[in-house]
Amino acid sequence: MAMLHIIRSSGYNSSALAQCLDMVLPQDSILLMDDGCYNLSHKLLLDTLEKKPELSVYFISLHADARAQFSTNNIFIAITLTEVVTLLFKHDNSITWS
Amino acid sequence: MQNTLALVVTTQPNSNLTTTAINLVRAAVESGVSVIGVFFYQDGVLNAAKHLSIPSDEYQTLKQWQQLNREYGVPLYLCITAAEKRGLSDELNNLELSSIDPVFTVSGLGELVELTSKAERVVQL
Amino acid sequence: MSANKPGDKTIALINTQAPFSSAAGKEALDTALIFGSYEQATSLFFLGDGVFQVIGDQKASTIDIKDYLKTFSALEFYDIENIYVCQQSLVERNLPENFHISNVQVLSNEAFSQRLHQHNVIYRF
Repeated sequence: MAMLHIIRSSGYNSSALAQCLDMVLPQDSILLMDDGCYNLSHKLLLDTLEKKPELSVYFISLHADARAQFSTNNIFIAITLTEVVTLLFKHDNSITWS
Repeated sequence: MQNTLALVVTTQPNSNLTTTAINLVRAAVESGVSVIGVFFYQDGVLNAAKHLSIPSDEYQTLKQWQQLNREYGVPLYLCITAAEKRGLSDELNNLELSSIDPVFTVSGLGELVELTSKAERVVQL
Repeated sequence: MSANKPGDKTIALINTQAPFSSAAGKEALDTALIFGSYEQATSLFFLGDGVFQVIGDQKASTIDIKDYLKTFSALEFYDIENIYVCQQSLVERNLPENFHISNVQVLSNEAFSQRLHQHNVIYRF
C-alpha cells in the first residue's frame, strides 16, 4: 500500500525525519508541512532521494515561503493544502511524523 | 459518492501547527470532502478551553474552530479523560461553570474508534 | 483506491517516545485497549525511543509514577497480539532483547516497515 509520510518537524532538531526515512518504501510519498519545510536541503533527505529516486516529495509552498525556505531541486513539488486533501485520498494510508 | 475524512488533533491552540490543521479542514470541506469529525486528544484537548485568552492581534484558534463547526457543520469531539487531566471540566447542567466551549462535543476514545472505522481516510495532525 | 468497508480496518499505533517523561506512551496504551475492546484489529509498533517502553527491569513506582507498563499485560485479553519492535532502534541504544511483555517480535527496518504499510490507519505517539 502506498503511504503518505507527513513530516512536520525539522530533522536538525528531531529524529522524526530520520525515522520516516528508515520506514519509507519506494512507492510512498513524503509531504513536508510546517517546520518539515526546513528539511528541503537536509542531507538525510537528499541522500534518501538518491537511493530511492522513485519517491515523490511534496512541500506546502505557503509554509516554505513563510520560513524563507526553497529548493532549486526540481524533485520537490510545491503544493497547496487543497492538493494535500487530494494526496490523502490518493494514498492508502498516512503517518504523521511530528 | 462523497469522500469522507476524519482528523485527530493533538497540538495546542497556541501552536501554528493547529492553524495548519484548521486550514486543512477548511480546504477539505471547500473541495467537497465530508469531514465527519475532528477528534481532540493529548494536548489537543486544550483547544476546547473556553477561557483561553489569546491577545486580540494574534490568531484566534477557538474562533476558527467555532466557525468550522457552525458554518460547515464539522463535529468537534473532545476526549474528556485527556481534557480533565489538563484542567478542563464539563458541567453539563451548568454551562457557566463548564470550562469547555459548547461547540465541542464531550466524548471519549470510543468516538475515536467510531471515526476511525467510518472515515475513508484519517489524518493525525 | 477505495477504502475498506467500515469495521474492516486494521489500526497501527506507533510508539516513538520513552515511557516516563511524557504521557504519550500511556495515552497510546489507553488507545490500544479501547480499540481492542471494540474488537478492532490493532497492532503496536515500537520505534526509536519508543523501545524504552518495552525493555525489562524498569521500576516506575520508585519515581512516583503509576506503573502503566504493567497494563501491557492486558493487551492479550483484547487480542492485541501483534507487537513489533524495531531491531535497529534496539541496536542503536545498545539494548538487549529483554522485554517485560511476551510475544514481542523484533523486526528489521524493512520487515517493520512492511508490517506498518499493511495497516489502514496509523497513529503515532
